[in-house]
Amino acid sequence: MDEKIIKLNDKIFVHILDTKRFKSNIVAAFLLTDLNKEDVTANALIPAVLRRGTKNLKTMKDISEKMDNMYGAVFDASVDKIGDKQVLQFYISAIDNNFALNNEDLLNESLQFLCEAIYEPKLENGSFDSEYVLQEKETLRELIKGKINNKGTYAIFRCTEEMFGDDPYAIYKFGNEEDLENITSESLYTQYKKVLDTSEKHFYISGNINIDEVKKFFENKFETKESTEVKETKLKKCDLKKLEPRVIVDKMDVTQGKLVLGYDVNVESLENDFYKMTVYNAILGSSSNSKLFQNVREKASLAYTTRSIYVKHKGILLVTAGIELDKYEKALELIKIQVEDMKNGNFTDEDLNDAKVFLENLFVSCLDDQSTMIELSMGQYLLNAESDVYKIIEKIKNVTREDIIEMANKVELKVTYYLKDE
Amino acid sequence: MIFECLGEKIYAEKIDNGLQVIIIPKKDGLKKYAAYATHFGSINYKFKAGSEEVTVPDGVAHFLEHKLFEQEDGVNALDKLTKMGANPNAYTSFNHTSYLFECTTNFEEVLKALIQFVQNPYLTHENVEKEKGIIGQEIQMYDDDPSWQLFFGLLNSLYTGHAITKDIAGTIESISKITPEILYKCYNTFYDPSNMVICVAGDVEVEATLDLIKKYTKERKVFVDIDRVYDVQTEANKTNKTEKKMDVSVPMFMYGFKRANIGEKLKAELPVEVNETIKYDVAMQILLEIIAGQSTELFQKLYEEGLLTKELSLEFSSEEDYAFSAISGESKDIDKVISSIRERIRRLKENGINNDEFERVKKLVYGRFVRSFEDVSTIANLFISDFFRGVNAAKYVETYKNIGKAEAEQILREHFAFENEALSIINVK
Repeated sequence: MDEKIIKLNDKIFVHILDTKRFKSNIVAAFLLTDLNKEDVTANALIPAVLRRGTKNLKTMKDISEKMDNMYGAVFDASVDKIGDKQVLQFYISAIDNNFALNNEDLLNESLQFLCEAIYEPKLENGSFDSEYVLQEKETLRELIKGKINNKGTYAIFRCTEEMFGDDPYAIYKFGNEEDLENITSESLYTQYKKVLDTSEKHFYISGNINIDEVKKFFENKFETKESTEVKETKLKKCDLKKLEPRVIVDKMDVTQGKLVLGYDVNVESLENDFYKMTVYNAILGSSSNSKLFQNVREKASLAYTTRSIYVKHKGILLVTAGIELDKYEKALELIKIQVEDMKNGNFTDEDLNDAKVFLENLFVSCLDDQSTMIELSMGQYLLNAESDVYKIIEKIKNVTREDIIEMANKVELKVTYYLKDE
Repeated sequence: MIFECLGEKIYAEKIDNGLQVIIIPKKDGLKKYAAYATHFGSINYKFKAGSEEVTVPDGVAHFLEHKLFEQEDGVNALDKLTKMGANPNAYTSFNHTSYLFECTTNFEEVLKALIQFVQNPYLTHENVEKEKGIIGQEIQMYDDDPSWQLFFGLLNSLYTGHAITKDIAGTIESISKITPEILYKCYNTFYDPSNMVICVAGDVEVEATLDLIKKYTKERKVFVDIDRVYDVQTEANKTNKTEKKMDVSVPMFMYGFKRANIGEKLKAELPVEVNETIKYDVAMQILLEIIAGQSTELFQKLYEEGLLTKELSLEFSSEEDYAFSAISGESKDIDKVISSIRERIRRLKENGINNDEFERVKKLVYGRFVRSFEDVSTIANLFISDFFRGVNAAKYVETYKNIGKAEAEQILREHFAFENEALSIINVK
């Protein structure tokens, strides 16, 4: 992907992905904050309140009408967790100017709107609109409670929570209900100002764009200053050495059990080991040719879904399986055998090659979807790693059998989590 | 035939063996997509091909979908295509089954492999028995899925007694009766090229792709029209409300209307002109937005009162044998949400639609379509499902531009008649 990064000052970066392949464009912004217990709930609430109204478009109805008139532009603001960062995300996507029926400059409207949404909220007595804050607190409360709705993601969350304990990565990205009580529109506005002042901000503009116009837009909007800060790796790998292996069982009303195995990978560097672990993960369980899929699902019929996930921003590996309730022991045993096999080099050169072919297709495909492209670029940036898809593929191709066995022997089971029936 | 849509050319040809081919060459795209689909889905459990009427257990179409990947040489087709660098998959809907892949290299080889495995079933007692375990797991997974249960709750009220109310994968009991003989019977009837379509989207050579398809697809063996026998709704059991309790944090609802008179059954083909079905579709997309979309007063108010926490899902589904609209969401006071929606419908029917609002929402649905036309799999899947229901997806843009307010208002009054409504609820356990 052809990415141009403009560093406006110490805190603001503009990433331009100029591509003519699409019928729409995206303007996105990521505000990076450190994940911590004190701020997590307030930070989760900020995008929700900003979504409600801006200086010029005071209500959601005004915003929605604006989006309709921009030919169904999509605007959203949310919060996500990337490694130890809590990321406030803002996003607008509109159709390419060529498809507008009355020659509107939709990209410019998107840029204007997104900046207004972030920097010029609707205010009331110098603070956020108190009604909006009150309502969004309730919405966030439901979102926090809704953690249990999807049993698969809930089981993954619970497993990582057990793995990380007091480490920030155990924190739920939407925060917790208790904090909500003490948040007022004033306290939230103070926190918002703090986030604006301190967070590192990354803007992404993707689509059929005029780079000079985009550049000019940002230079007019923000102070430009030669940057003095040296970029360091921003994410910390985990340290789970002291964690004793444990088995955790939760009970809920389910007809299918959810098994999640949490492994520490003991990576030396999140950045350098990313390529090796990506290939390891493809062989073990992220593709349909993988050992887990073939042996646990296809051959033994022990699970309908089973896969492995390598969390590149934290250096952990998760193996998940949806299983029949009485097959817990059998499924667990068979999954462990697959992980052992990797350690012993029990995979063929063909497996290795299949994994590389699978990954090449996967990464090239990223280039056909703008939001995936942006997500990949932001993720790699935080890893301090290569974001050019073809260079990533090159590095993946260089991974050897020995590399995989080396990584496999660093993989250590820490938490066995099982969600079963009551 | 060549159709144009948003700067793309769409090539359509029915080849000699009766197979419909649709090719959408998207220049400069990296992903290439192809699907080989048959007009056979979960609701076609009763059919006549010739004189004999056949009834098969629920879940057969989906079972066949799973089994076709198994090949006589012992190599699973899913693995084979994956090894070639493609991302293969398959799905079964109410009325069709589709085998597909996405890839960035090796397109022609993979397409050849797709055609070959779909055309060469290998079913034995042993491999059929083994599959019952895997599908059983899949059925249970849906049992725990609140959205899936909500959807089928609505279908049960709208279409009591109709095959559409049955789970696509069948039940553990129904699939236990499936045998290789039953599967072959269905295969030989429905997997004939004359009942199928191949759709390709991506940066491909049109002529070369067409030649490849002509060369590798099999001969036609079925020369009669397959008569899909549909259930008649049993009015006696009809209730317009279903409720279920599950492990959810907020109650969920799905409120829908059945289209009472779905009109003439259309043949699976690509009509050259805009027809009534596509017009009705577009009108429904606009109407649902006007009733309960994000920019309505209704949504704004319910959101502010805390009765809705996110936008409502709006959908209209229309096929040869059924058509319904559905508005769904989560709320702690479902009664109040539903009565507000009903009130909004009543007012719109009485006072008509505001002109500015109509024009604005037209822009919205047009833009949404433009956006969907970016992704090769979305485009191809749309052309396939529309083909089976007698709609040409290349005609949406024209329909969006030309639809009038009066037309939409007439459909509003006809579709949203309260005697055709139903409500499905998932309550907190």
